[in-house]
Amino acid sequence: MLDFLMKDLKILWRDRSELLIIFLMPFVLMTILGFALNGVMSGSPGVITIDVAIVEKDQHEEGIQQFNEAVSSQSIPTQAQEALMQAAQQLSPNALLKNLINEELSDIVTLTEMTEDEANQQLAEQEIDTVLLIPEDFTYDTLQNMLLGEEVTSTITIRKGEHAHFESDIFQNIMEQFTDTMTVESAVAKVSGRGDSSDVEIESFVQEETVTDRDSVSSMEYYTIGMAVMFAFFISATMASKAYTEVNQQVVDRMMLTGIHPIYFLLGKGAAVIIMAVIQINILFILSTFILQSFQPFSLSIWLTTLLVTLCYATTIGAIGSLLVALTIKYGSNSISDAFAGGFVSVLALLGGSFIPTDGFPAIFQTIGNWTPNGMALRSYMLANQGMPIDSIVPYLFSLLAIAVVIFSISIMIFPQRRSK
Amino acid sequence: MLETHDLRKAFKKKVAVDDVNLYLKEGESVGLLGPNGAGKSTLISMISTLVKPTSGIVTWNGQDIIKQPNHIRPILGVVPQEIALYKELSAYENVKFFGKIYRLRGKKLEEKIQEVLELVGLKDRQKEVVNNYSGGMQRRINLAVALLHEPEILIMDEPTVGIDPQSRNYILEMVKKLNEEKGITVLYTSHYMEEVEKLCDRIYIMDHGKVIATGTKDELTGILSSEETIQLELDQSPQIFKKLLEEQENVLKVTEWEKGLTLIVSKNNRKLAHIFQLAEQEKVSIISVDVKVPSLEDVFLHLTGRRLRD
Ligand SMILES: Nc1ncnc2c1ncn2[C@@H]1O[C@H](COP(=O)(O)OP(=O)(O)OP(=O)(O)O)[C@@H](O)[C@H]1O
Ligand SMILES: [Mg+2]
Repeated sequence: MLDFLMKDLKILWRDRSELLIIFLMPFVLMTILGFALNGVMSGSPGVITIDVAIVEKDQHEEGIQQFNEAVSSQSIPTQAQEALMQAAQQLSPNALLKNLINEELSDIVTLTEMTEDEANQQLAEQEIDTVLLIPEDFTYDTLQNMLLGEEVTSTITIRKGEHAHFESDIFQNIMEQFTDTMTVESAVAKVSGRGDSSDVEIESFVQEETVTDRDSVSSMEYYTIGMAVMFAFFISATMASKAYTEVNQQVVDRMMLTGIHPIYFLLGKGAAVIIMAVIQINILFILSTFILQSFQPFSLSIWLTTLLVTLCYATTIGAIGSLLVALTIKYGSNSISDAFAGGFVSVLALLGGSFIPTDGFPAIFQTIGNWTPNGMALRSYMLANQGMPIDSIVPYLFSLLAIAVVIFSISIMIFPQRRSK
Repeated sequence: MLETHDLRKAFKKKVAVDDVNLYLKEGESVGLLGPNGAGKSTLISMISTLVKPTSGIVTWNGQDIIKQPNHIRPILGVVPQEIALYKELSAYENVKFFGKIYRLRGKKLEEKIQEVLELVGLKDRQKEVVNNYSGGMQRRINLAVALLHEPEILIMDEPTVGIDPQSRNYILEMVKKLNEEKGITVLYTSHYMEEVEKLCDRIYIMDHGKVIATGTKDELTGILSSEETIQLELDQSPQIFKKLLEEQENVLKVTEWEKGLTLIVSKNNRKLAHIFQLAEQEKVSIISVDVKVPSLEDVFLHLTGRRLRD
């Protein structure tokens, strides 16, 4: 397989002009498109929207009241008692949670308050993506846990919609982060003996926005990612057209005659596509960062997450490449990869949100878009870029890899033993 | 022994190979001769397991190699009609790549590479990119790659098409040596008479997908033993003259060529004088007359009424 890979890379390397086009074209086009559409889009484009129904069973005020009573009954100094009560007021887990969702996650999450029955019905009707159940005594139990170190647990329930499993997963991840920080917070509170560090923990998972004119930069950022995921497809097509030359020049005949298993040939092609795609996407991101300054300030964790997304997406692109190669060889024609590059990519790009965010699309298109590899990659990049924890991206990455495995297996199955014509 | 039985390949509009029977004994050198579109490439692609026949079978030592192509693939050396090389890579890189997928490794690989490059006479220029080679050199590398894994049967599809006489002779000599000294079985496709005459023990002549004649060179030219070919170079378009000639009983066949007419006449009954007489009568002046011993070209002409190459 390495032999095939090295051969393909060597051949690509010797055609510098083509290489230059592959690597720089996306940047050029993206710059043009980004500037052209800059005015069209206002606000930061929400790639992911999670519609959440919140079912409130907690009695917030009563909870605090109850907590205060519990504190009063404890045999600790009055001063400490007052500090704890004040902390409870400030911490107010319920408010904290809603604050988190309504303000920090407003780009992604829309929260609607409902009764449990309403919520369940809407979930069934796919009006909403997920239901968040705040249990009875949430405030009271959480405060006890956090400030008094009592071993009471209060469980937030998330009811996920089948139709929106990605969204639900992401939301679940965010909520898990939240409850984790609450516990961390409680540890901090206990050590310091004060309960007023409540504003610290939100930052730990929602990036502070430091870019001042984010709105205008944002559309650039969006297009950079949109173009990156779209242009990667063309590398697959390029590789297929190389394979077409190999068919025409009867080099493929030669390979078949050696009796070598096609998996090596396809793996070589796939790996070459992966490498090219990784380079292409990184060049695009780096140029955008330095020339257009379209990305937020550098942060190692964001950069690493982004790289991980790139690797997974490139793997899918590599598999698509090997599929196109196999089809090209099977039918001895490059019309399939031409059709892919000439039309199908645009459709995928549109559905996946490369050109405009898919929010405004009919639900069915949004669903399809969510399942396109580029759509998933785009969402992953956006989440990574917003500093979301890696857990929230993992479902996408697994899906990308799963798609890659399936597509690659298909390409092995259709690779012919003989010439097609 | 490699054999085909009623081998046939039909494409949508055309029967490219029409029930061909041929065989190839070990150590033999066999020529496959035919004009463009005769079906040579299609036939040998089926023999080399690259194309599935519409019907008929190919066997090697009794084994069906259509069902089991892997029985024969390892001992086949196939030289495609196209330059089946990576033009962006050097000769060395090409040979090495194919050597590797033939699972040659390390020292053995390096030795084989140098051996075949030496054989085709390109050892000195192995580092150059194939694109920069002349047609003849490309053909030679094309051949070199097919020899890497020491095949027992070498199948060549017009390995000398469109190249300079020097490279052509080089390749011919090389193939002759491989056949005679190493005992490699050769199936050589061409539309050059001279090559096949020089190189091959036996010859199949194909036209329109069919084998129309087969045998040794002598056997084939024997078909014409009772006939002779007279080639006339004329100064003008000879339609009426041609008609008149066709009416002569000793003239068996009249065909046109660029500069005049070719006649096939019964031996010992040339009646050249009579032909001159007719020419004078028609005011056609004969520039030259050539009476020829039959060649394979003439055999082809005789069998099909056409020349091998237009
Ligand atoms: N894949 C194909 N599809 C349809 N027709 C084909 C195909 N391959 C060959 N043919 C037809 O079959 C006939 C025989 O072709 P083939 O290439 O075998 O001839 P050839 O003797 O090798 O000719 P040449 O000297 O030009 O190489 C031709 O008429 C050709 O057009
Ligand atoms: Mg041919």
